[in-house]
Amino acid sequence: MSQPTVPIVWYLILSVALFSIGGLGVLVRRNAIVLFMCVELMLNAANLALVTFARLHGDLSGHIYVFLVMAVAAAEVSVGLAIIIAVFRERATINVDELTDMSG
Amino acid sequence: MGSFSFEFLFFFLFGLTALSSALGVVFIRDPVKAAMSLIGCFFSLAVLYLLQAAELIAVLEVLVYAGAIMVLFVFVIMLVEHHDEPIVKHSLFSRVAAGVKVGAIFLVTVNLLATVAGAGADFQANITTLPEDFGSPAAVGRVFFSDYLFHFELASVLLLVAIVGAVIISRDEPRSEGEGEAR
Repeated sequence: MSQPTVPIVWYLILSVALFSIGGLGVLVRRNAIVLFMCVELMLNAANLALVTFARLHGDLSGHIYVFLVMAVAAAEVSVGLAIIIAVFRERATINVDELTDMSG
Repeated sequence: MGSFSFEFLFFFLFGLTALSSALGVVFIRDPVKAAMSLIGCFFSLAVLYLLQAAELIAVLEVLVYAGAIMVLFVFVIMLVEHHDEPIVKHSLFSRVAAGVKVGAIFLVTVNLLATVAGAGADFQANITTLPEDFGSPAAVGRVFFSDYLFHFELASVLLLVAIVGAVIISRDEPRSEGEGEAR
């Protein structure tokens, strides 16, 4: 089996870059649905790092954690989108700048 | 050395696709187009997983993320009538501040990686030779159902709770009016 040739660090840098882009999206976007998509992006960046480390150590535990992250992401998205729908029904907006009832 | 340029080629091709479609998610104003861009990002990530011998994860990425989760997103975008985001909402200052924060996170982490890579001898030299079936469903399943069985069961309970919770939260409730009258 041939050794991997692309340096491990490049994968990690790509992962950090994706995570940062997702974080930027969470900071600059105001549409709640798009915020969720940016969070998904950040989770995927973390998954990429997990897979990379799994290969680095030859340990399948990393893959297990990616699987669990996916399960949690699916749960988070279903509940989160339900909340968005409930909020939209109540307030007719999903702009997070206008949803400030719970900020002090 | 035949696979040498092959892996590089695919890494750059799909790494750049992932990066650019991620930027698309952030900067495209229309949520539907942003969702499509995110799907593209998930597909290129699946290829990157394949490059790292994570076959099961790559398939799950396409099935669960690009399939199930994004369908959910697109459905909700369809349900929630969207007017495009107002264009100038933020001051220039807050935009720059967000950029600086994120840039700082990126630089600090990359710097950290470089330090670790420099200090810990050679990352690459530590790579263990992978067994032939590394990342295959059989191999992952064997680990999952022996060492991580409890986590697996927890995940199933979590998903069940999430389903019930989502149904209850998003239900079109005449309940609130009824309760209001009762009180």
